[in-house]
Amino acid sequence: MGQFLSYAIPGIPYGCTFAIVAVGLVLTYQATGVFNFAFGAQAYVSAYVYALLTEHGMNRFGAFAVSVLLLAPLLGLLFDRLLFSRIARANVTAKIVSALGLFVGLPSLLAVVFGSATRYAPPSVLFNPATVYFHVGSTPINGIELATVIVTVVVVVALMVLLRYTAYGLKMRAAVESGRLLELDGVNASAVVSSAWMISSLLAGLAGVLLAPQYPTVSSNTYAVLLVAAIAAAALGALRSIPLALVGGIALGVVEGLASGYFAPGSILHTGLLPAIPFLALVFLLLFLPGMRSLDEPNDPLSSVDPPIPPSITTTRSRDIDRVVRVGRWALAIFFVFSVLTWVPGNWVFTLSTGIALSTIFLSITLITGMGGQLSLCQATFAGIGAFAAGQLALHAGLPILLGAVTGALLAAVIGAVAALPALRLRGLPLALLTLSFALLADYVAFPPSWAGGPVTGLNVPRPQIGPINFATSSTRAFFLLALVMLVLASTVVLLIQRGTLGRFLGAMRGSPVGAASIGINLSWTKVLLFALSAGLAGLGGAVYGSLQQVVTPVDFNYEFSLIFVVVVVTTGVNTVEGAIQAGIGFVVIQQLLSYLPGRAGSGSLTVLLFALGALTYARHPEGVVEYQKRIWTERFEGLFDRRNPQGQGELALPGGSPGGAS
Amino acid sequence: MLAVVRRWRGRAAIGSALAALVLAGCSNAAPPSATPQSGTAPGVTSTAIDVGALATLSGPIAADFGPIVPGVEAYFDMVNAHGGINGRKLVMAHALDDGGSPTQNADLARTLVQQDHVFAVVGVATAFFSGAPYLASSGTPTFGFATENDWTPAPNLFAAYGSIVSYTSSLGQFAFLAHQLHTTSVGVLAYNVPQSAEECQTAVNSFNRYGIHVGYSDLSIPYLGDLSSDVLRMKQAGVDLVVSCMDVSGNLGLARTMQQNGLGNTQQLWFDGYDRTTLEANAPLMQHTHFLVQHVPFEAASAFPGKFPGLQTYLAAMKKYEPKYTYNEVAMDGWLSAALFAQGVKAAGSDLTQKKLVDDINHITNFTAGLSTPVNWTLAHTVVTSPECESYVTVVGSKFQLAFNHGTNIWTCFPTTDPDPTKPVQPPPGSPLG
Repeated sequence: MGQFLSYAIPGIPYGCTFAIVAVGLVLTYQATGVFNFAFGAQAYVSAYVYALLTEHGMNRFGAFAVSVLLLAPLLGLLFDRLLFSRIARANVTAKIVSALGLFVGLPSLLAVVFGSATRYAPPSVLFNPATVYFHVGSTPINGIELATVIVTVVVVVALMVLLRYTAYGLKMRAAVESGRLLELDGVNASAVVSSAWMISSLLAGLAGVLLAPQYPTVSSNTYAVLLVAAIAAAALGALRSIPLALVGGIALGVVEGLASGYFAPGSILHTGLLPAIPFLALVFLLLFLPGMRSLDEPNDPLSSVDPPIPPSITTTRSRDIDRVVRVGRWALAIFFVFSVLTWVPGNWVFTLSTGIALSTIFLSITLITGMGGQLSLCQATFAGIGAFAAGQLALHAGLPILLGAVTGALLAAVIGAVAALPALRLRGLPLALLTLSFALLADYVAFPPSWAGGPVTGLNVPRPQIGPINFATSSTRAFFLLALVMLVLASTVVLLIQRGTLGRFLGAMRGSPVGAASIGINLSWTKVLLFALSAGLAGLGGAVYGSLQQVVTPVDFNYEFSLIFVVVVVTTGVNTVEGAIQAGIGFVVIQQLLSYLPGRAGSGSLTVLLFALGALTYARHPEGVVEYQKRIWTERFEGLFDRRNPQGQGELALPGGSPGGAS
Repeated sequence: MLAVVRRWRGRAAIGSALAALVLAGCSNAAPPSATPQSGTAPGVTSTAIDVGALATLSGPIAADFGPIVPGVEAYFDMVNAHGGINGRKLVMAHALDDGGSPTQNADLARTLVQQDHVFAVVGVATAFFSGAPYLASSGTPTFGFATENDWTPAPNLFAAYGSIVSYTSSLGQFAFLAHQLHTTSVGVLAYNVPQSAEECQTAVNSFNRYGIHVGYSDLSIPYLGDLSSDVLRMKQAGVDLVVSCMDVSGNLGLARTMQQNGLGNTQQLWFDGYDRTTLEANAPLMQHTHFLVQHVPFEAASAFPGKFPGLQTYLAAMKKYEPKYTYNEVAMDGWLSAALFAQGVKAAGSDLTQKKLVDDINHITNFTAGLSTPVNWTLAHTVVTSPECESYVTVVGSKFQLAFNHGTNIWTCFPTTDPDPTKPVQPPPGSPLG
C-alpha cells in the first residue's frame, strides 16, 4: 500500500497540470461554443513573454501582471473581435481551421518577432520549485506542485461559482445557445462572448506561466502535448463539466504516476504504453462516450450542409481566357521543367524537388478534406509511414527504393483503412481530435523504435538507380524529374477519382451523409476507401520526400507538420489538385526566398506565419486565398475584356467536365 | 460501388504493368563516396576567407551546441587583430541554425556550399550531423565536434579531439572514479538515444568488468521524462554513485528529484553541465558532482597561473565577449576548430585551395592548441590514439575544482585496451602539463 501511495500521490499535482488546461478548454467551449485548439498556443505566448521579461530583469510579479493579467485577456479579446465573432455561424471545419491557424501561427509570430533563441525555465511566481514544503506520506511536495494544486482548486471553484451561481455565468451560457434570444432581453451578447474569451485567455495565460518553471525550456511543443492530455481530461465531461474536467485531469495524472512506478524501466510498457496513456484515453472517450461523439451536432438543421464553395474559375471563365490560360499554363510548365533541368542553381533544384514531393503529400489532403469533407490531422503521419517503410525495406531487405515507396504507400493505405474503422461514426471536431490522437500515438509510440522510425540520428533512405542513371551521384535534377513523374501519377489518380463515380459519392457524402446513404451509397465503405487512398498518397509522397532528403527522422513527420500541412493547403485551395501543387511549391519557395534576407533563421517561422494568416480567411474563402484571388483577377480581366469587346466575344464557357472544379 | 472497383481494376492493371517495367530495372544507388578535394577556393578573395557554421542554435538543446559559434568567432577575431593569415581575414559569413533537425542539417549543409559558397565549414555542433555525407562528398573542409561516428573516415572532416567517437576507450575512467570514491553501488541513467545510452552502457560494462556493483540502471529514459520512479528505485537499491549520461536539463531535474527524495548527498558523475553559469544558478543542486573533461579544465588557469598559456589565451579572448558570451566547453570546441583551421590555412600558404588545406592538416601529428592532449591527424580520422586522457573536475560550494590531479599534471590516462583502473599511465608527449 505504501508503494502504491508513493506512486499515486505525485500523480495528483501532475494531474492538476492537465486539469487547469482542461478547465480552460471547457470554459472556452461552454462560453463561446468554439473548441479552442489555440489554447495551448495562448498559454505559450504568456509563458514566453513572462520568461522574456524576467530574463530582462523585470520583477516576477510585474512580469506576471504584464503577461497574464494584461496580455492574455487582450489576446482573447483580439481573437474574438477580429476572428471568431466574424465566423460565429461558420461550419465546424472553418472554426477548427481558424483555430489551427492560430495554433501554428502564434509560436511562429513570436519566433519572427523575438528570434528563435531558446527561452529557459523562468522563475516560479508563487513558490520556490526547489524547496520541499511538506511531505504527503513519503512523497515530497515542491513549490511548483504546491502552486499548481492551489491555483487549480481556486480556479475550479471560482469558475463553478461564476458559471452556476451568477447571473453573468447564465448569460455566458445563454450567449452560446442563442445570442439572438439573449439580445431580446436587452443583453449585449457579443460583449458577453468577448468577456468569456478574455477570461478563458486569462486562464490560458495563467496555466502557461504557472507551468513554465516545470520544464527546462519554454517550448510551444510542451503546451501542445499538454493540450492533448487536457483534452482527454476535459473529454470525461464531454467538454461541458468543469468538475469532471478536474477529476479527469487528476485521474490521468494518477494513472500515469502508477504506470510510471509499476512498469519496469526500459520495458515496452514503460517506453511504449506510458507516454501513450493520454492519447489512448482520448481515443477511448471519443469512441465510447456518447457526449463526445455528438460534440458538434448542431441545433440548426441547415448547419450540417457546408456553404457551397464558389465554383472554380476554370469552370466559369470565358472560352478565350480559358484558352489563353491553358496555353499559358502549359508554356509555363514546360519552361519551369526546362529551367530546372538546365540552368537553375543546385540549391534551388533541391528546394523545388522538395516542393514537388510535398505536393504529392498535400494531394492526400485535397482528397480527404477537399473532396471527402473529412478533416484529418494525421496526414504527415501517413507520409512518415511511407518514408520509414521504404527506408527500412531498403536497409534490411535490400528492396529497391521505388518498390519500397510503392510498398510504403500500400502499408500507409492499409493503416489508413484500419484507422478509418473507429472513425466511421465521427466527423467534424471528434474526427479531428481522433486523427490528432493517432498522430501523437505515432509520434510517441510507433515511430520512436529504431525498427520503425530509424535511429535517432536519422534513417537513411537511399536514392534509386534506374539502369545507368544513379540518382545519388547525378545531380538532383534527375531526381527532380523522378519526383515530378510521381506527382503527375498522383495527380492523375486524384483527378480520376474526382471525375469518376467515387468523386460523386464523396461529394454526396460531404454535402449530406444522410442524403448520400438514402440513395444507396455505402458510407462506411466510402469512408474507409477515402482514408486508404488518402493515406496511400501521403505515404507515396513521404517516400519520395525521404529519398530526396536521404535521411529522415520521426520529427520530420510529427503532429505539428500534420497541422501545418492542413493550414498550408487550405490557404492555397483544398478543393483542387492545382491548390495542392501551389501549396507544395509555394511553401518551399517562400521559405527559400526568405532565406536570402538577413537573419534567415526565421524564414521557416515566417513562412508558417504567412500561411497561418491565410488559413484565418478559410471561413470566408473556403476555396482558398489563391483560388479566390485568381477568380477576382480573372473577373477583373474579363470585365476589361468585355468593355473592349462589347460584341459578346467574352461569353462565359459552360461549366467544364470537372465536377468540383479540379484542374 | 462494385462498378467503380471494376472500372478501376482495368486501369490499375495497365498502371501496374508500366510500373513493374520501371521497378524491374530499379535498384538502390550507393551513396556517393568522398571525392578528392578539388583545387578550388570558393569564398576566398585576396583579403578574406568566408566560412560558415552549422549548429543547433535554437530549441531545447541549443545550449549544448550554440556556443560553438562565438568560440570560432573569438579565435577569428584574435587572428584578424594580428592582420589575418597571409593578408586574408577569417570571416564567419554565415552561421546557420538546424534547430536540432537532421533533415534541416542536411539541407543547410547544401545551402552553405551551393548558395553561400563558403570555403570551409568551421563550427559544426549538432546532435544529428546528417549533412556530413554531403560535406564529405563535396570536399568541403569541415571542423567542429562529434557526437556520433559520422565524421569518420572522410579526410576533410575534422572533429575536435579526433574524428572517432569511441565510448569504450573510456572504460578505465568509470572504474577509476568509483575506486577513488570508494563506491559500493552505482546507479546509471541515460536517455533512450544512442549517444547517451552507448556512453552509459560503457559505464555499466566498466563497473561490471571491475567488480563494482551496479545497483540500478535505466538507459531508456525518454528525453526530459519524469525521473521520480528511477530515483525511488535507486534509493531502494542503496546506490552511492549516480552516473548520468543525460544533458544538463535532465541532470538538473535528476539532482532536484534526488534532493527531494533524500539522496542529496549522493556522489554524481555528469557529462554535461560543466559551465559556470549553470553552477551559479544551480549550486545547491550540483554539490558532490564530478565531471570528466577532454581538455585542460578552466580551473587550471587560476590554480596554476602562467602554466597553461593556451588556456589563458582562450579565457582572455572570451572575456571580451562577456556578458553576451562566456567561456565554456562548447565555445572551446569552437576555438579548437578555428585553431586547427587557421593552422591549416597558414600551412597552405597564399595559394590557398580546399585540397591544399585538407592535405596540410592531414600531415599535422601533434595538434593541441595548448588545450588538449595531442591529436595526430595522420591517424585521427579512423583511430583513437592510446592512451586516452581526461581530466576530473568536482563541484565544491559555488566553484568547480580540479580533482585527482598530481600537481600540474591534470590528466588521468589509461590505455585504450585492457586498462587497469587503479594504475593510470603517463600522458603522451606534447600534452599540456603546466
